[in-house]
Amino acid sequence: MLEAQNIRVTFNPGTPLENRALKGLSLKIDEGEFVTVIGTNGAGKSTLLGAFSGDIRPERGAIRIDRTDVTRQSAPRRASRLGRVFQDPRMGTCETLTILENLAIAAARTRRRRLGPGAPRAKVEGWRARLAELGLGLENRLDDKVGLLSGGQRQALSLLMACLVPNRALLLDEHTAALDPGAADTVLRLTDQFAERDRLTVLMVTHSMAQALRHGTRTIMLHEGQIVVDLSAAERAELGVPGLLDLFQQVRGQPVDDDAMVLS
Amino acid sequence: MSLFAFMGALEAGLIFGLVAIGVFLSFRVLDFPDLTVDGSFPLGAAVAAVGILSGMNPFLATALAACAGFAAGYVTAQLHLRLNILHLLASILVMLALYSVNLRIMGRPNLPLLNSETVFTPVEALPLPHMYAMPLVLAFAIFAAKLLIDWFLSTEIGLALRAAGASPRMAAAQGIDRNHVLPLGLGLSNALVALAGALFAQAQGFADVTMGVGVIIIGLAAVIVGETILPARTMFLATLAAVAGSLAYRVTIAFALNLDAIGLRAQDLNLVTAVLVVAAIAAARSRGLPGRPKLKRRETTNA
Repeated sequence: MLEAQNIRVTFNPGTPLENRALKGLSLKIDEGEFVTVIGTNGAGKSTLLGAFSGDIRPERGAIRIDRTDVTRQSAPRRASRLGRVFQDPRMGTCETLTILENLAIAAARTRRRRLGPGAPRAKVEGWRARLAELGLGLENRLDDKVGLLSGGQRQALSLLMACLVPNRALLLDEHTAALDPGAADTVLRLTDQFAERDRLTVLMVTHSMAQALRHGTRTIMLHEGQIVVDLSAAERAELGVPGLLDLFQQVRGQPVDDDAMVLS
Repeated sequence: MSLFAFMGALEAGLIFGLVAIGVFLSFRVLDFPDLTVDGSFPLGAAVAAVGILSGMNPFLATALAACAGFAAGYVTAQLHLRLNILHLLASILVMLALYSVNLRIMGRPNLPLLNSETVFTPVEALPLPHMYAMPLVLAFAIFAAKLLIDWFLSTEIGLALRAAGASPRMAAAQGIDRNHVLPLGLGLSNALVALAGALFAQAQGFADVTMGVGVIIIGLAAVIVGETILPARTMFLATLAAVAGSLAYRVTIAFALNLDAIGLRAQDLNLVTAVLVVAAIAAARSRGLPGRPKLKRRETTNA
């Protein structure tokens, strides 16, 4: 379970560049819920995700994971409960290490690292099987440097690394925005597959309305640092993209001019 | 060049192989330009010399020297992490402070070890001339140290260290805290350098407070020369390249200074070193290998 309680984030406070990114936002995501987040640039989507992951510390309010207050915990400490995938495929994996070594690092995420072998033989077959689930043939390339993989392959590996050990929640930051359409579909399909099988609690930020409606069980819309629309699965199904667009324009009081959000 | 000079160059090259592995750890693995080594090399020499002269077992004194080096690297890392001091500046500050610390440890600028028992005393018992025995014994010792570092870098903690240096955001998302791994990595790097300082003092028969000048450049030269002659795909080859680079550097220098035709003298050593480093970087650049600034590399690959 993820919970943000009345959080406020201001960038560059007290300067001419002051930007109130989140204005007392509250959000509760129940166990097993898959929430998609949409909003225009600057609405606060990434800031919300950063507040959950620990990259951004809110000046007011509290962040809880499973009722534990983690507001003051650093990002590496929260990583024992949270899996993350970034927008840039190069961010989620280490290109100078091999696929096997990347998986070894991901396998130790939730516990203290030891002076034992990073990739013990007994574990490798299990990891190979998980790689095979991606359907990209990576299970035969364990000793290849990750820098040799394509963007889509790296992002699929990032997703697997985020889900390799059990998570309390998964945070996805526009994780298909930098991929070509084919690779984006693959990664989204894998996301749904992992989320369903492990009954993951997911927070997925996306730039595309269609994607937001097609995936997950609930959709929220951010505008100027607040949640303006919160739709359950049933409500979403009724609405469709045109309905959502109308709703969005009503809330904003002006037409949406962000092509990517409408068309993709 | 005489055979004696060549063997001497091999001996120094092997000992500085440890410096090269240390510099490889900080500059390449952790992506942290650490100049502390100019202070931790004589620190290792000083601690070992004082320990030996006070009657300590030479192996214990050498181990103590490595611990002192670890502490120096640890302090540099903490200055950078806790006080947010720029990495280069933090390491220069520690290097500066260590000059005084080393003088305090030794009590005077130079300590001779000529008639003392050292870690190399058992080498005299080998049925081989000293000239050949030293490089042979050192080769085994340095190779063992290299294998130990290779093993460490393949453990869970070692992999965390490599990830934190190469992709900090991925490391943070995987629960790797830079505040924990950086002090460990820099400590280890400087422990190797101090160990080299301790061995060098015992091989040469003295510890001198100025013996650290330019050690960082020699180490970096070894790493860059090594990458040029042996482009590494695995960690085993990367650390081997560092040692090979150190050997190549020493032999080249000895050759240049001994060649009467060129007319170089001992006082030209630092100039020759600088020219060699520049030449190695230029060679690496033309072959598209590391050794040039990272930003440049990204620019060209994206173009």
